[in-house]
Amino acid sequence: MASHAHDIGKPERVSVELINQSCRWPVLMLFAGALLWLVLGLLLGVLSSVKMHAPAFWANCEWVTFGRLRPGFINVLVYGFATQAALGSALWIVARLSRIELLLGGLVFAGGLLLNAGVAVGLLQILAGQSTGYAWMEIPRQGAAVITAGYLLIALSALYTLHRRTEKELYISAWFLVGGLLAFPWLMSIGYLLAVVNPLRGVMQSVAAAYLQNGLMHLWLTPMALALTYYLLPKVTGREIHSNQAAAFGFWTLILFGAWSGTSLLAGGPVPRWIEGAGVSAKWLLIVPVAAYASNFILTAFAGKRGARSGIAWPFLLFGSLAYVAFILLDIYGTFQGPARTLSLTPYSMGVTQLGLLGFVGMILLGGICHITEKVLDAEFRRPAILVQILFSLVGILMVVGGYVVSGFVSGAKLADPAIPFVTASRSLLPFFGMATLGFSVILLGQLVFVAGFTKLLLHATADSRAGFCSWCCDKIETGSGKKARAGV
Amino acid sequence: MNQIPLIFLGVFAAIATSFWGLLIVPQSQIGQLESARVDNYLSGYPRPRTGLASQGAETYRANGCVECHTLQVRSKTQGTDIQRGWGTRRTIAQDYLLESPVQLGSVRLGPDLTNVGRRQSDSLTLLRKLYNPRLVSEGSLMPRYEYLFTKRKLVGDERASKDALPRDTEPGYEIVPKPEAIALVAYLQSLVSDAPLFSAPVLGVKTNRTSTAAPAKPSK
Repeated sequence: MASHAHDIGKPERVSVELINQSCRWPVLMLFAGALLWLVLGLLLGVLSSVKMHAPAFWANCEWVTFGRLRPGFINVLVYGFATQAALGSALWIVARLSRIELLLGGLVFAGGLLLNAGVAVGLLQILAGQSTGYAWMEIPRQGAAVITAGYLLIALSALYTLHRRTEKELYISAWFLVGGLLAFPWLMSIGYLLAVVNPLRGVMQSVAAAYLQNGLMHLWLTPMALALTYYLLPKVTGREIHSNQAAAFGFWTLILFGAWSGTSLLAGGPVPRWIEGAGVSAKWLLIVPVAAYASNFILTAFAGKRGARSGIAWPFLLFGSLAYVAFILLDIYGTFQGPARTLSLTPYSMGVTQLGLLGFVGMILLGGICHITEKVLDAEFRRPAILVQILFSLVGILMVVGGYVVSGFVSGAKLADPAIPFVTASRSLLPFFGMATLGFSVILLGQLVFVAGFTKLLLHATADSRAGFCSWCCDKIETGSGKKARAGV
Repeated sequence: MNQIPLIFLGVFAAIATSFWGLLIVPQSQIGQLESARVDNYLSGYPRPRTGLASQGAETYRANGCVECHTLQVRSKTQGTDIQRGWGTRRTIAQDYLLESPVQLGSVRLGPDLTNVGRRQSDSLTLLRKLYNPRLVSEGSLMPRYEYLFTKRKLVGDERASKDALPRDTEPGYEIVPKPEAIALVAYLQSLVSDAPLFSAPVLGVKTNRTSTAAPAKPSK
């Protein structure tokens, strides 16, 4: 490797093996935490789903009442799983794109500890009855502050590594990563400061909270997932991204319309119509970045001669991208005036949320975890286990999303007739809620199989150091007893 | 070219402009609302919530009632809320002036509660509904809130206390609501948002002619 005289002080390009090695423990720590919260979150999801069709189940314990379990489930998935997995992927992608070792790895460990502690404390606070009352931000301010602090340390490592990169031009994934990393702390500040810490007057609190909730999906999780896809797609297809310009266009339109679509969550609510209108219009315009991304995906992966689409991440990327398009389309459909009359305030929105969170973001992040874990450990997952995970996830997500979306149509149609009592309308949803419980259970099973494989790889990778530690212990014990023998004890 | 500053500026601009458009501008419009002058509301509308009712609001938040119930009435063009008797008019920003947190709700697994104080003002019915919803609404999917109540064994000839739920347990025991349950019921009974307002009139009812934003001129 030639060193450039005018680059004195700048790190030189480093080999891929060294980069992977430098990322190993920081990234795996975040992935392990993410998978732990994914499993716990899905368990909370199964439990809360059971309570929707079996309301007497475990009803005498306030810690697991439905109104606390459900926000616990969502917050654990958003902050414990998705945010942590996104950060782990971001660190690895940044190091690989910068072609240098991951810098400030120590900050990642500290940040990871804080992030996980914040989620744990936040969950306990929600189950103890201290929820803020606002969706996707039920974790009280203390837990949220710790989570954001942990996030900042990790983001610092990522951004500093990027700053010291040897490659001046930024690949498109880096755009999405920088965008997402910058948006997260803004969103948390706006949401928490204006709705919880120093609340605005009246319904403006809901506007601030909706801004955070919507922003977390479109300005934080979506860019991180798209960054991952844009990085992995060339690896998996062996072809370059079809159009960097389309990708950049998709980035700018996503940031712009994602930021403005916040108040679409309050459609039909007690806010002036123009606020809803601005949000809903921006939500419709989200079809633009989705179209840019989808066309890039299709033209990269499917156009031209049939190239091999191999690599462990491919099914995750495919399913996740399909889910992204479906998610935005269903979300937009729910805001059209006709459908909104029947679908708003029904479980339809729950289905759309799960499609975005689990179907789109979740699957792509899991694909990233698979691919990156194999790279940093220089090992391979057993393919049958991954197949089981993908299959179970697919089936489970379709059951959950399908159940909720269809139940929205059914319940909405019944509620549109004022003569039908509310209880009748809600009881007609029982089979769909049952399907959702089954779906969540199936997803959970699939992830358990994956976590078993992940743990196995980790144990294998640490076998040498664990054996070394064991023999060190044995040596200490032997020399200890040897000394005693010589002393005639 | 180092594109990071460009991306930073772009993200900042998107968030700053949307923050201005969706938060600052509305704040100047509805964040400055004051209590409205409405007949029968001596201290203005909305009526400040005090005592047991404000404690009950905390219980409502702590138990996540917002996960199943909404506190917003939609207009006639947007849904059948009014036809269902969930309110006489849609709710507007004025109705939530004194709320914190504002728990509009996003899904109706249970009915809307904005005006439940009008529909159901009997404390005993509300308490029984919390203890076991199936006692009051057959087929209801609402969870039981048993932990808001204490089941006590009656000692000897002791009679059931005044607050106890009658008839809902085997002889020799009584179900007594805890303070949280009583506060929650007081909160539910305070939930009424049907005062006719300038921006949200009720058909057939006279409203005060001033809008909520303009100060009232003193009459001669």
